[in-house]
Amino acid sequence: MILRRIELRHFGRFGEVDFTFRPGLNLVAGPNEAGKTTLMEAIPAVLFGVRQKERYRPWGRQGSCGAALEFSCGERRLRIERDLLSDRVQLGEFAADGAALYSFDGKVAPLGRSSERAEYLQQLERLFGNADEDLFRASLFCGQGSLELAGEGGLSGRIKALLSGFVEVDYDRVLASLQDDYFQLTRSNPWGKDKTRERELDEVRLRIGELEQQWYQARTAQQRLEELRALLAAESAALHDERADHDKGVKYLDWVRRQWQLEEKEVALKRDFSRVQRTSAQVETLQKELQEVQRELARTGLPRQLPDDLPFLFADAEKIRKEMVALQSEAAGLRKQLLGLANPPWRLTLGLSGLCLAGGIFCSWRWPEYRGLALAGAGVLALAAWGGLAWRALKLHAERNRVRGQVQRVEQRREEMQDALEELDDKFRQHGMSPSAVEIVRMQKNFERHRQLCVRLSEIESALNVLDPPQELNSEKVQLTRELVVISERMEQDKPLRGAGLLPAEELPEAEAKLAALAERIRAREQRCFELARDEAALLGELRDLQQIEEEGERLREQELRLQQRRDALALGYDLLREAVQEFRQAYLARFAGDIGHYLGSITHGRHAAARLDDDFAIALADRAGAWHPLAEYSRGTTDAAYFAVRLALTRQLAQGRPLPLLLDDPLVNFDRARLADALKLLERLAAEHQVILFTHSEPLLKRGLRDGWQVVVLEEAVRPAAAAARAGEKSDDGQLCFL
Amino acid sequence: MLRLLHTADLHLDAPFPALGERAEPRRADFLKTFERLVNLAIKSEVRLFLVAGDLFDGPRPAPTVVSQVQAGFKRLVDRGIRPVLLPGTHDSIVLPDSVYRRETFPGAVVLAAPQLQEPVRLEIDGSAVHLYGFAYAGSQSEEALAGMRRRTEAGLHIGLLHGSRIGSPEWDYRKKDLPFDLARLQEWDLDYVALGHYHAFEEFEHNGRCFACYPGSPEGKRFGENGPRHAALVTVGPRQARIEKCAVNSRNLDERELDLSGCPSPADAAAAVLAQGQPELLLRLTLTGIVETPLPLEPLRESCRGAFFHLDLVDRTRLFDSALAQRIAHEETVRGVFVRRLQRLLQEAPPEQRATLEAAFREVMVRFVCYGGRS
Repeated sequence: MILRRIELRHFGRFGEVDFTFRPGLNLVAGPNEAGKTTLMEAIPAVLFGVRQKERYRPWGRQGSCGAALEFSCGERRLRIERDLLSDRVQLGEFAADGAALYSFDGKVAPLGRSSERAEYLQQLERLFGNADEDLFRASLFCGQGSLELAGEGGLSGRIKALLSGFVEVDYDRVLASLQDDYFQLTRSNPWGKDKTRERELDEVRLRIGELEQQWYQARTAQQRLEELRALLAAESAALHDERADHDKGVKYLDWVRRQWQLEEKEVALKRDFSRVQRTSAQVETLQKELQEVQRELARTGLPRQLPDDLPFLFADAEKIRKEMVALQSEAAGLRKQLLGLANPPWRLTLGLSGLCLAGGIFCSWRWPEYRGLALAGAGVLALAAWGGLAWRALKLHAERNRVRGQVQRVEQRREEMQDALEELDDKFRQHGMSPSAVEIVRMQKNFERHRQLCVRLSEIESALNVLDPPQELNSEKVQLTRELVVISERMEQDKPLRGAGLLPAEELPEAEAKLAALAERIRAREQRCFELARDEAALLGELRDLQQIEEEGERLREQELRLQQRRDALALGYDLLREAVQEFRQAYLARFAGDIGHYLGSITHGRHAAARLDDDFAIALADRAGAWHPLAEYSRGTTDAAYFAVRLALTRQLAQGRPLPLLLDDPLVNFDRARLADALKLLERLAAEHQVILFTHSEPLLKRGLRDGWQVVVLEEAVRPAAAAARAGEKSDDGQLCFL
Repeated sequence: MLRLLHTADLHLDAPFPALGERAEPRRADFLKTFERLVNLAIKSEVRLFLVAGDLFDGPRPAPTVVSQVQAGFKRLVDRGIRPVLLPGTHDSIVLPDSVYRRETFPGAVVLAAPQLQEPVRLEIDGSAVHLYGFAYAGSQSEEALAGMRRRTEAGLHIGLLHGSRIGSPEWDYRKKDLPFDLARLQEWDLDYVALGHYHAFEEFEHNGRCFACYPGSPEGKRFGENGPRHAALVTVGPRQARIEKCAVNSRNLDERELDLSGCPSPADAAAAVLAQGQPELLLRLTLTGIVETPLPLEPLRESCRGAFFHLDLVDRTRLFDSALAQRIAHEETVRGVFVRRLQRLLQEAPPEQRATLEAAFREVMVRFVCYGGRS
C-alpha cells in the first residue's frame, strides 16, 4: 500500500496544502518547527481522529480543520477524509476506472461506540490489517531517535509488547499481574505448589468455616436447649404429678391410719362404755338392795351396830319384867288383902301415890335434869297420901302393919326392880333403842333377822366399796358418750373420703412401702430435674446470636462468591493469556522470525538472512556459516538493520502481511556519518519493498535525497507553495519536489 | 376506635460493615428515625406504640442506644402512650443476656414470653385492649402461632407477629421464620395484626376488611429497601382497621442502572456517574452497556465518593461485545489469539460461565490498558 497524497485543510500550521508521495523512498525535509511532525501526525489524525480537537486547529481561525489521505493499493485507490472538528469521515474505495467499490460517510470519534465508528474501524482493519491507533503508530511510525535501542532486552521487550497487541505492556507483565492478583486472593496454586500463607479467600473461607462451626454449635445448643427444656418441663410436670400423688397417698394413708385408730378407739370406748354401764347397773341394784336392807334393818328397830351387852340387857329386861309381874301379882294379892281389911281409902291413896309416882317418873323422864326433884315431889305427895291413910289406918294398924310390911317389902322390891328397869332403859336409850317393853320384845324377836340383815348389808357395802361410786361411773359414762359422739362425728366426716372402701389395715404396710418407693422416685426425679437445670445453664453459655452469625456468614459468602468469581476470572484470564502466548508462539513466531530474516536479508544484501527468536524474543542472527549469534555480538550497523527488520516484520505482522508505508521521523538524527551512510543504504534497499517516508531537518540528507532522486518534500516550500515551486524549478506538483 | 402507631424492623445499632466510615453516621440515621417515630406518635396522639420485632439489630445493642430508646419510650409514657415491644429474630430472647432480659423499658409492655398463654389486657380510655404476641425463640415458636386466636368477644384484640408471609416477594430470598398467610390471619380473627420481619410495606385486606399490615423498615437497611420508608398510623375498631402510611425515613436508598455505552473514557464514565450524584443518597449503581475500555472501578468509586452518601458500584458493563474486542479478534497478536480463544470458549460455554469469561477478559484487558496507559 502506497500513501499517495496528504491533503491538509487548515491543519495545524498548514493552510490548504497537498503533499504527494511515491512508492520507494520519500523525504520530507524542513527545519525544526517547519511542521514535519504535524504532517506525519496528519496520517493517524485522519485515520483515527484526535481526542483534543483543538490541537490542530490553526491559531485564531474559526471554521473547519481537516485532512485527507489517498492511498493506492494495486489498481485500487483509497481516499479517507476527515473533518477533525466534527469527526466526519468520508472513506471511498475506488477501482482503477474510478468506480466506487465502497464508500463510507459518517461520524467517527476517536473514542465512543457508535455503529458508524464500528463500521469504519472494520474497514480500516480490512484495509490496513489493524485499526488500533497505538499499534499503527508503534509499527509504522518511527519517532525521533527511536533507532537507538535500549539494548537487547529493550528490543525484546518492545517486540513482546507489540506482539501482545499493546504498545507499552508485554504480556509477561500482565501474566505476572494476573498471577499476583490471583495469589492475593488464594494460596491454592493450580499451576504449582500452593503458597504457605493464607490469602483473602482462604481467610474468608476459614472464617466461614469457623462461623459454620459456631452456627452449628449454637444451633445444636439451641436445639438441645429446646429439647432439654421440653424434657425439663415434662420432668417437672411428672414431678408435680408425683408429688401430688405422694401428698394424696400420704394423706390417704394418714386418713386410713386415723380411721383405723378411730375404729379401734371406738371399739375400746364402746367396750368401756358397756363395762361402765354394767357396773352402773350392778351398783344401782346393790344400792337398791342396800336401801331395802337398810329399810328392813330400820324396821327391826335395832341400831345398825348392836351393843355387845344387848343380850344381857334383854335377859335383864326379861328378868325384871318377870319379877315385876311376880311383884305385881304379889302386890295385888297384898292389896286385895288390904282391901279385904276394909281400908277403902287406901285404894285412892294408892291410886294417888301411883299417879304421883307416874307423874314423877314422867317428869323425871321428861325433864331428866329435874328427875330427883320430880321424884321427890312425887314421893312427898305419895307420903302425904299415905300419911292420911295411916291416920285412918291406925285402927287397923296391927293388921294392916303386917300386911303393910309385906306390901312394903313388895313395893320396895318393885321399886328396886323399877330402878333396875330404869337403869336398863337408860342403857337402851344410851344404845339409841327404845326402852319400851314392846319394842324390846320386838327387838328381841328381830334380833336374828337383824343379824342376817347386817351381814347382808356389810356384803352389799363391801361390794359397793369395790365398785366405782355411781357419780364417778356417771361422769365416766358421760365422758365416754361424749368421746364416742366425737369419734363417730369424725368418722362420719371422713366418710366421703372413704370412696370405694377403706384400705384393709393389713394392707397398710404394703401401701406405705409403695408410698416410700414413690417418694424415692420423686427424689430421683428431683435430682434429674436439678441436673437438667444445670445442663440448661451450661447450654445457655454456649448460645450465640444465630442471626448475627447468619448475617456475617451471608456477608462472607457474598464476599467469598465475589472473590471466587474474581479468582476464577483471574485464573481463567491467566490460563487463556498463557495459552494465547503459547499458541501465538507456535503459530506466528516462526513466521515472524522468517519475516525478520527476510527483511534482514534484503537490507543486508543477504549477509544475514536468518533470524531466530527465542521464547523471550531475544534475537539471534545466523552468520553466513549458519551459526547463531545473539544480536549483541553484532556491529552497530547490523543491529540497526536488525532493528529495521524487526520493525518491518512487526508492521507486516500487525498489518497481517500488508506492506504499509513506513514513516520515519528523523530516526537518524543522532547517527554519525558512517552509521548514517549505512542506515541510508539500508533504507534505500528497504524502499524497494516498502514505501518509506522519511521526515528530516538534515540539509545533507536533503541534498542526498535530491542527488539520489528520492521524492523530496521541502516543507518551507510546502507551506508556501509558490515559493516552493520557484525553488524546485521543475516538476512542481501541488507544492512538492519530486526527484526521480 | 383506638389509634396506634405501628412500626417494626428498626434495626437500631446495626453494624453496616459494607458502609465503612459511613457506618457510624448511618447508625445515627436509624436513631434519628426512631426519634421521628416517637415524635410522630406524640403528634398523632396515638395511644399505643407497637414495635413488631427487631427494634434492635442484635440481642446486645450498645448501652447508649438502649438508653436513647428508653428515653424515647419515657417520652411516650409521659404522654400516656404505651409502647408495646415484641422481641424479633434479630433481638431475640434466646440468648441469656438478650437486651430484653437485661434491660427494662419502664412503662412499656414487652411480650417476651415464647408462648402465648393469655393475651395481655390493657385498659385504654375505659375499654379493654387485648394484646396477642409471643417472642421469637427458634423453631418452637411455630407451635406458638396457634395461640394467636382471638379469645373473647369483648374489647379490642390486637396481635403482634414477627413472621414471614408465605408468598411475599421477600419470601423467596429472605428467611422464612414463623410462616403465615392471609387465611391464617382470618382464622385468628383479631381486630388488627401488627406485622414485622419483612421490610416492604404490605397491607392485608379481604372483602374490604384490613386484617394486618407490614409497615416495612422505617429506614432502609439494605439495597432493595429503596425510596421513602414508612410507619403505619392505624385506627382500630371492632373487626376493622384503617391504615395511614407515613414516611419516616432519614435517608433514601436507591438502585439505578447506568448505561455507559456512550462513555468512551473512564473520565466520561465518572462524569456520568457524578450526574446521578445526591449527597444524601445511598445508591447502588449498576453499570451496564458495552464499553470500549474496561472500567477501573476503584478509581471510579474514589472519584465519585463525595457526590453520594454511599455509592455501591456494580460493574455489568460488557467489554467483550465492544468494537475493540471485535477488532482485536482479527489481529495476529497475542491479544488477538487471546480474544479468539475466548470467543471459542464463549460459544461453547454454558450461560452461567459467560460471566466468568467476560470477567477474565476484563481482568486481562484492564491490565493491558492500565499498564499501557492508552489503548
